[in-house]
Amino acid sequence: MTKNEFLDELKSGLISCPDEEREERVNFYDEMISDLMEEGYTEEDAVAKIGNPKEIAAKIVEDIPLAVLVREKIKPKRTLKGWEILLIILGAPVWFSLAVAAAAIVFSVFVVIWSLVIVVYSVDLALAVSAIGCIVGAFLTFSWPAGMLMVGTGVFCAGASVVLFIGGIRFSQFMMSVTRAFFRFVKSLFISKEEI
Amino acid sequence: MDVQLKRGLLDVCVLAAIRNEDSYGYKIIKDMSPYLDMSESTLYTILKRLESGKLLIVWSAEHGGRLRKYYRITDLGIERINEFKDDWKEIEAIYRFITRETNMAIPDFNGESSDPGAIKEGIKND
Repeated sequence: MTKNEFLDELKSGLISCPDEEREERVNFYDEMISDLMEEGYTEEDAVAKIGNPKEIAAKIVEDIPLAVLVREKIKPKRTLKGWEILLIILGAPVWFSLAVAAAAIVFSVFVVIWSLVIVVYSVDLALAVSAIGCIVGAFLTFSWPAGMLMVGTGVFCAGASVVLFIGGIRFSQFMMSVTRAFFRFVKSLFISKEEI
Repeated sequence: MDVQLKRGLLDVCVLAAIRNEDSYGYKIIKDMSPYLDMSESTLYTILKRLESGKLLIVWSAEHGGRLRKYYRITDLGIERINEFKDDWKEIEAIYRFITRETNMAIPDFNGESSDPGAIKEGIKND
């Protein structure tokens, strides 16, 4: 790969970045490769030493905050003409409600994910409370069979709540990674579409 | 290694690389390479962070028909290196404490130093 091919690939990988940042990054790698070549590396070797431009670009974009990417995405690449602005304003009922709907979908996915976690912990809490209730209640029952039944149930609830609590921790960790994956997915919607 | 700790370390490494004379991207990486491998993107991120923290300034000069960016350390940057050196003394003391504690926790299979006094003696001697 030549230096220019490398820089072109890097540039197209960074298409979703703000112009200024992209320019600066590309110049930085340009300088690096030129310096390597000055040091005696062939162009091919110098480029190979830096790495794969697609991967480098992907990593850079991953580190840029989502807000910056979105701002960049919705920023028009040129000044809008009068009739385009008019269209945007007239179309507001359509695109605005679509935008709200998209945001609502993203939000509801988060709600669904985290309500599952809340459900697990609520069940756990209910078990713990019943365990205490049963054991305390057993002493208020003046009948051996009923008392034994309540103690047994109480011990069972206590055991189940401990097991469920451990499971709940695992589950919320898992849900955390699901949330992260989902967030990456949302981010990728803003990145990949413009990639060449 | 802990991300926060590593980030602080690498910042100081880059500052140290430009401590004595202004340097440029490739040279910084080359100067550090006997001690640590740093990728170009990592260096870029660190340089940006140091620049926005006013620990270094950037200037450009022509070199072989192209522009090359040079990085110069500021007083604030020198101060950061010195702070790091001071911090390091503290970290060393903590490190010594940690390793001593760990040595004590290792069970002795010879049974010779089962006497706690002997262990203490051993520590005093090193």
